[in-house]
Amino acid sequence: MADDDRVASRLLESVLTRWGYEVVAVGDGAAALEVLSGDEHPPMAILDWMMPGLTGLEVCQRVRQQDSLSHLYLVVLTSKDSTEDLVAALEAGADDHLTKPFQPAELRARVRVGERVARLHQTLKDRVTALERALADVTRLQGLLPICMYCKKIRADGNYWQQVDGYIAEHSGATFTHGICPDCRETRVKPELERIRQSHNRPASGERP
Amino acid sequence: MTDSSSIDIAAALRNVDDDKDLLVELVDAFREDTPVRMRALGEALGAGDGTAVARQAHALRGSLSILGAQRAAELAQALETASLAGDLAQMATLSAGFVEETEKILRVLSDPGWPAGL
Repeated sequence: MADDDRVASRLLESVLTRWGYEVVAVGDGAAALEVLSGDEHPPMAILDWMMPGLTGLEVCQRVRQQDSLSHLYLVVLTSKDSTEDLVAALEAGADDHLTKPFQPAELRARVRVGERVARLHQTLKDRVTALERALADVTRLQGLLPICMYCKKIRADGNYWQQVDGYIAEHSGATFTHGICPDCRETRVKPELERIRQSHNRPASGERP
Repeated sequence: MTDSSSIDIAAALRNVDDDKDLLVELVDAFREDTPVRMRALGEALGAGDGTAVARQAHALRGSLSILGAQRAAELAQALETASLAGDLAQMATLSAGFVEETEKILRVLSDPGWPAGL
């Protein structure tokens, strides 16, 4: 929060701290912009309109010019209450405004709105990050894949016919564990086992039956 | 003698969420900062600098309204408006009333008996 009036600043800091918020208090617009541009910037700012150096509206404009800060929730404190002033604050990039002297209950309600919006932004940001990570891990399978009608090999690049499991493993994040399905157990494994059993039971050449 | 009716203590307490200790703290800050702002206001008035007069009047208005000094806050607003409009005659007239009222507020808040209502 930024306000050059020590009475208003101390009042804001005191009630916000009492409500459980961590507050960074500064006394002018330039200091506010510096805090908001930092790596560990707060998700919300309450800015007095009239401040030396940069006004609250100028801070809003500078913040909105930076893509990396576009998610910040900005509230402008003002003694002005005309429609023109409200429009000017919103057009400068403020999300909300509060007229001084504010009632603590109104401040609390508006800060909670800002907190909800800031949390929503953070949730969206986390989801996008997770999706980007997932996409980076997957080489997409798409398009038409030529596959042998009999052996089910896939024709890979360079006219090389490749087993389907190898092909998928190379083109996705999937790995395979190999097993035997019931159909193949009946049609392939059992006949093979029977063939082996019979070959063991057959007398060796030269032996008497 | 001081006139405590210049300050609406009930309004001041509403503004600080009924935190009496905080109100006392804000009054201390006001008593420390206001003489500095009043000197700056006097210099700006002497120089006929409407922008500087408006800046000081605006800052004082915020503190005065938080502390329940509504009449002084209204005089500050009138002075700020006249100063921004460049109305030097009106600025001079309004500043006299504003300075008188604000000095009265300072006397009230500096009275050892204040705040009797807290």
